[in-house]
Parts: sequence; structure tokens; C-alpha cells
Amino acid sequence: MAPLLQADDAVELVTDGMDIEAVIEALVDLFRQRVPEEAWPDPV
Amino acid sequence: MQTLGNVQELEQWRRQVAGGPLHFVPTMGGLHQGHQQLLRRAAQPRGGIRPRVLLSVFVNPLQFGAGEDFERYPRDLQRDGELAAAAGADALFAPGLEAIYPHGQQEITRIQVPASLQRELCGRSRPGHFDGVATVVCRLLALVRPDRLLLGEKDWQQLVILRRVLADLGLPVPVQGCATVRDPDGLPCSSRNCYLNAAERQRALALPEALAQARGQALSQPGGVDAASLIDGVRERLLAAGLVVDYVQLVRAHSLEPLSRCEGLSLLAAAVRCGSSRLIDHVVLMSRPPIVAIDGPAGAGKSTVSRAFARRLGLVYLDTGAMYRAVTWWVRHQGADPAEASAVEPLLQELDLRLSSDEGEVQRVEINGQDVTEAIRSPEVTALVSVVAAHGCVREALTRQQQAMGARGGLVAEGRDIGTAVFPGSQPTGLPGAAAARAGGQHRRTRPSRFHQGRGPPAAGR
Repeated sequence: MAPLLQADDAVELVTDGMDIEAVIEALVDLFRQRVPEEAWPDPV
Repeated sequence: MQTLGNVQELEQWRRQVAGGPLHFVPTMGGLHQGHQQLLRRAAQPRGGIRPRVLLSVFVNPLQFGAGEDFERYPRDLQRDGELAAAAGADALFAPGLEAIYPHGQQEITRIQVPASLQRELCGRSRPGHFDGVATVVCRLLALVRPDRLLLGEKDWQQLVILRRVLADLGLPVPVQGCATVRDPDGLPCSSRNCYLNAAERQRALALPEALAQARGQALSQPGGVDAASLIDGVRERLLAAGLVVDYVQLVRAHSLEPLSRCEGLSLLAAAVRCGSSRLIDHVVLMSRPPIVAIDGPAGAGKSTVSRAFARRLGLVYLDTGAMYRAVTWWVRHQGADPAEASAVEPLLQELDLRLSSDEGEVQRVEINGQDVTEAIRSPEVTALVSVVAAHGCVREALTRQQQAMGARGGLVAEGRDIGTAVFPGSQPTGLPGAAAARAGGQHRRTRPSRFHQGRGPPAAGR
């Protein structure tokens, strides 16, 4: 097994006190900071 | 919808709607379908709560240079109000100059945007423009104090700059970018399109057309296309249509540095003069669909979150459990003894395992062309998975499958499933297992990691 290391550009999301929906929305925000809708649109 | 003409009215309205989330769309008026789409997106419920939506209409003198169109910029507050209300805005803030710049525009504390972000594209031909944009947006954010800011991807450089300014100032406002909205003829919606007469509008269509053509060229050359050939092609088409070219540039999408070849996520952008209008447009080029790695301590609901996240974004969830089940099903289907590695290994030659996302809750699983989505959940398969998964040859075969899926991209993987062993050439990600396990009792952390951009065939959007 190769050891896993945090990537240089990993983003830590502290999810204490968040419900699952809030975590998913926060992840979507993080994704969208990097990948614009014009490059990878939301599914219809 | 309420119209708020000054800071006092804004404050009063904020008190009325206090308690719930407030989403904010700053505009200069001259509303069009692009603004309306921003307002509709702003009104979408989050976590089951429908936010209040405020838009501002303020033609900001600080962001216009000498000889630009400040004086004639479209101003029609009544029409803007109607369009905003129709798109779901709760209030329209239309401050006067004195509300935004109480001591005059020369006396306001200004924001200075990093030079690197305004060296290229519109920053080059509009010096001071983005400092003016950043200054007014910060002033508006201070007055409105929203929970979320929505901006169009159409003004990509502005979006990149404002994200950076807010981050640098530590302003805790998430910024949501929304895709460019286009008219049916392909021209991106812009307040400045109203300056175009019919003949000019026809000529202006060369802008989106030339960029779309370049995108096609980039897509057809998976090895990565040369910037010069893309740029020259666009420039020629724009000139042939009688447009005056301000710039055509290929830049990194986030740092806005010029690129000599398409790589990672890049932006091919152009600005032209057409008649008395200055028009901008761009296409985004992506070398490979994104890969997201999510890691965190055991028991943090990573799988549930990763699956839901993948579904929300139309990505495939790299479901390694389903992959082991599919191989187990295949071994049974072929009538081999699942306990015998020597019987299993030949069945793994030319294995073709595919996961695909669709609208449903469940991802489809196919092995060697057969849909086994339901079959792999049978008790017979469940009983044998651990036996089959114990074979080294099975783990190796599945690593190869995961590599093939990684090369295609468009996936969400849990950190423990990826690393140099699965995706060589990309950064491994996540926490060492022991550290993750130790942290498990105290924190629930989910670590989305890099969105790997490799050298695979480009995928593009506009």
C-alpha cells in the first residue's frame, strides 16, 4: 500500500456541526471555485 | 419587490428580513436574461431554506475609464425593477452616488487588485477598471452584508479578481459563479448589446462563432494545442467579420497567466469593438474532466457525501465496493471456483468494467458489456466478495480499471482508494490512514483534494 499524503492543493473542510446536506453544498462550492459551470455544467 | 433608494431603507429592509440567509447580485442595471438567471439561482433554496434575494443597481463611475460609456450606459430603473421582480428578487437597492461614495468618488478608500490579475485580458486595455469594480463591490458588501454573492462567469476576469479580493480581505462571503447566458443567436447577454444595430449585431456573432470554432480545434487535438494557432485563427475570423480586435488571449483560468499551449483549465478570451460597443466573450478549455478526491476519518459519512456530491455534479463515484462485486459476479457467471486464484486470474484478461452516472439514485455497473447493477447486490455475490477480493490478481486488475477510469476523468474518489498506486502522475491525496483514524473521534473532516487536470483528451465548455 502506498502511503497517502495530502496533496499540495488539498482543501480542508471542517464539517463539525454541519449536516450532510450542508457538507455537500460546501463541497460543491469548493468544486465550483475551481471548475466553472462553463467547463463542467451541472447535470440537467 | 421593494425598491430601496438609500442606505437607511436598505437597513430597514435588512431588519425586516433578519434571521434568514441573504443572497446578493450586484449589477449596473441594464438587466438582461443573464442577470435574471443570476437572480433565479440566488433564489434557489439551500438546505431547505429559500434565501432572500437582493440586487443592486448602481452604475459605478470608478470602473469607467476616460472616453468609455459611463454617460450613455443604459439606465432604466423601472424596467430593471420589472425584470428583477419577475426573476424572483425580493428587493432592489438603487443607491445614489452619495450613498456609495459619501465624500465623493475621489475620497473613497480604494481597493487595489494584484497586478498579476489585471495584467492581461481586459485589465490591459482598461487600466483602473478592476480596482474600481473591487472598490464598489467591497463597499456594497459592507452595506448589504450578504451570506452569498452571485456573479456571472461571463465576466470571468472580474469573477477571478473578486474571489481573490474577498479572500485577501478575509471577507467570509462565498462567491458563486454562474454560466454565461446566451441569446438564441449565440451572442452572450450583455447590457452593452443594446448599442448594436441589426447589422452590427450580425457582425458581432463572429465573436462567439470564432471562439466556438477554436474550441472545436482544441477538442480535436488531444495532445494539447498550440496557443498561437488558436489565437491566430480567432483573430483572423474576427477581422474578416469587420470587428476591431482588442485582444485574443489564452490564459490559465485561475491565475490568468498567458499560456503557450492549452493545459489544465484554460480560458480563450477575446474582446472586440463593434460599432460603438466593446464586447467580450470566452470559452473555457479543460484538458480532462475533473477528478475529485475526498478523504477524511473513518465513520465520517464519506461514502454518503461522496456519492451525493458526485450525483449533484454529474460525476461518477468511484465505487470500489461495486467493482469488487462486479468481478465476483463475473467469476460466478463464468463458473470458476472463486477460492482458486489460478481459476480467477484468466477471467480478468481484457476486463472491461464501467461505472456510469445517470439521473437515478443508483449508478449503473457494467462488466464486459453486461449491466450487473442489480445482480451484484444478490446474497450469492455478497457471500463471495471477500473471497474474490483476497486475490492479488483481482486487486491488480481493479487498479488497472481505476487507472483507466482516471484517465477518462469525471470522477469522485475516496482518498483511501486513490494515490500513486492508482493514479500515477497525479499527486496522491488524503491523510495517512493512522492519522485519519486517530482524528476520527474528535473531528468530522472531509478533505476534497485537487481537481486533477491531466493531459487526456480535452473537454470544453463555453
